[in-house]
Amino acid sequence: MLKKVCYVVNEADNVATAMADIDVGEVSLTGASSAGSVKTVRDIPFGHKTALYDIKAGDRIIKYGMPIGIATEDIGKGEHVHMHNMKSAYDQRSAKLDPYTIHAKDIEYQIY
Amino acid sequence: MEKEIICQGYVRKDGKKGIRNKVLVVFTVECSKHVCRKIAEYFQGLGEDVETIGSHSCLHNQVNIRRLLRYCTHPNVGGVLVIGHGCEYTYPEELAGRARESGRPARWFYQQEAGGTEKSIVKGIGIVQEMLEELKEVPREPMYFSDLVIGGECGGSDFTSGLAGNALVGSVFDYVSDHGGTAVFEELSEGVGLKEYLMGRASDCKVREDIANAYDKTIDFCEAYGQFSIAPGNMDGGLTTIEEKSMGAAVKSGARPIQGVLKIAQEPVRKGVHLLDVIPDEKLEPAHFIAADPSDMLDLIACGCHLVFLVTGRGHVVGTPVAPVIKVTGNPRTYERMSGDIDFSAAPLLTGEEKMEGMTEKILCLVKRICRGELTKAERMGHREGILYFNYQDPTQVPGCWSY
Repeated sequence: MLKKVCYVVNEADNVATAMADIDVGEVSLTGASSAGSVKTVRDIPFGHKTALYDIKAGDRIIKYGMPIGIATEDIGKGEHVHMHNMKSAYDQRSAKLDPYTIHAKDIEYQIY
Repeated sequence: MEKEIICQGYVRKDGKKGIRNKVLVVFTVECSKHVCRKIAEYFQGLGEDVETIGSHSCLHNQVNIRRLLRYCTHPNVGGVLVIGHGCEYTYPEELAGRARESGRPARWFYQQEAGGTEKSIVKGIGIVQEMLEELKEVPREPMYFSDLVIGGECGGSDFTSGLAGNALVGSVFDYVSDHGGTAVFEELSEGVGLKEYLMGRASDCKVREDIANAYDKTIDFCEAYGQFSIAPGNMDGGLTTIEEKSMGAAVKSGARPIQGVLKIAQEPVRKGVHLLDVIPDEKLEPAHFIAADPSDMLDLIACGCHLVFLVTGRGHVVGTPVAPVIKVTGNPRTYERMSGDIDFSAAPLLTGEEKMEGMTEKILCLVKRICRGELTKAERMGHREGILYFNYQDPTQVPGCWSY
C-alpha cells in the first residue's frame, strides 16, 4: 500500500517527503515534481525529507512552497534533511535539542 | 437546492439545537469533583448521557467562569446540576441560575450542607434522575449544516497531518462553510510564518487587523516562554520545524474567508470559518500556560462547537465531556495500530487510492451518523478528558466591528 516514492508538495520546494522508508538509491518523485526522480545518498525514514538540489548553509528550506527553516550546513542533493542540518527561523529551543535522539538537553532527570 | 437534513436536533428553550441530550454535573472546585464523578458514573453504568466538568481551583478566574457558563448552556446540554464544596470562590448558585435562565432544568447544592459524600451522592442521583425524565420530553427538530458548528484541532501531528488528515478536515470546513454552517479552528501557535497567508484570508479589514494582532501576540508569547508548539514526537514523525508543522496545521481550516477572530467562550456572530485565539492577553509564567489537546478542544466547544475533529498522525485517544470528538489520521500505520480509537482513516489520500471529493463524501456520512446519535470511538471507550486551565483574556477589548 505504501509506495516507495518521495512526494513533492509544491513545485517551488527544494525537499521531498518519503512516503515509505526509502533506501539509498534512485527513487521516483510524485506530486508537483518536474524532475521525475532523485538519487538518495542516505536512507530516508518514512515521512522525513530529502534534498532535491544542493542546498547551501544559510539557504531556506522550502516545502508547501513556503520557507520552513534554514539550512545549518551545506546539504547535498539526496541527503536526509532534518534536525541535524536545518533549523527554525523562529524557534530557538528546538535547535538545542539533540539532533539525533531529539531529547531536550536543558532538563535533567535528577533529584537533589 | 433542497437543504439536507443531517439529524433531528434536540431543541433548547433558548433556540439552540444540540446533537446530544446530556445532563452535566458541574463541580466548582476539586473538592466536590468526587461526588460529581460518582453521580455521573452511576448513570453512565446505566447507559445514560451524564457527564462531569468543573473548576479545579478554590480560586476563580474570569475566563474559566465564562467557559463554565458556556458548557452549562451548550446546545448538547439539556440539564445541569452544580455541586459546590462550600468554601470556594466559584458560586454554584450563579452557574445553575444562568443555566435556568436559558430554559434548562438546573439545580445546585453544597456538599457541606447536604451532609457529606454519601448524602450528596444520593441527593444528586435523585436530582439527575428527575432531569433525565424531563429531558425525554425535549422536542426534536430537523438540523441542517447551517445549524452546525464544528471545530478543528490537531494532536500528535506528523508529516501525514498536513498532506492527508488536516487536508481532509479543511475540505469539511469548506463544505460546512459553503452550506451556511460555522467552523472554528485555533492553534495560532501553529501558524508560525503564516501571518500574511492568514491575513490574506480575512473577510474584511477589521478581521485582517484582528488576525495580525492575535498572530503578533502569539509569537511574542512563544518567544517569551522560549517554547514553540512543537515536541519531540512531531520531529520523530518527520516534522523538523514549527514552520513546517504550521503549514500542515493551517490546512485544516480549509480555504474559505475567515469571518472573525474569537476569544475564549465567545460564540461566532457570523457564519463561516472563525479563528479562536486562546493565547492569554497578559504574559504569564510558563507554568500557567499548559497546552493539552483535551483542554484546547474544550475551548473550541466553549465557542459552541457541536463536535470537534481531532486530526492525529501519531495516534490519539481522547474525548471530551461536552461534545463528540471525531478522530482522523492520515497515517496508514497509525490507523492499523489504533483503529479502536480512531474514527476515520484519511490514509487513502496519502497513498493516492482515493481522491479528496470521495473522501470528503465519506467523512460527511460519518458526521451525519454521529449527529444522529452513533457514538464516536472516544465516546464508546468512555474518554471524557479535559482540565480547564486558568487563562487571562479581556473580551471587552473586542473591537466594535466584532458585534457586527
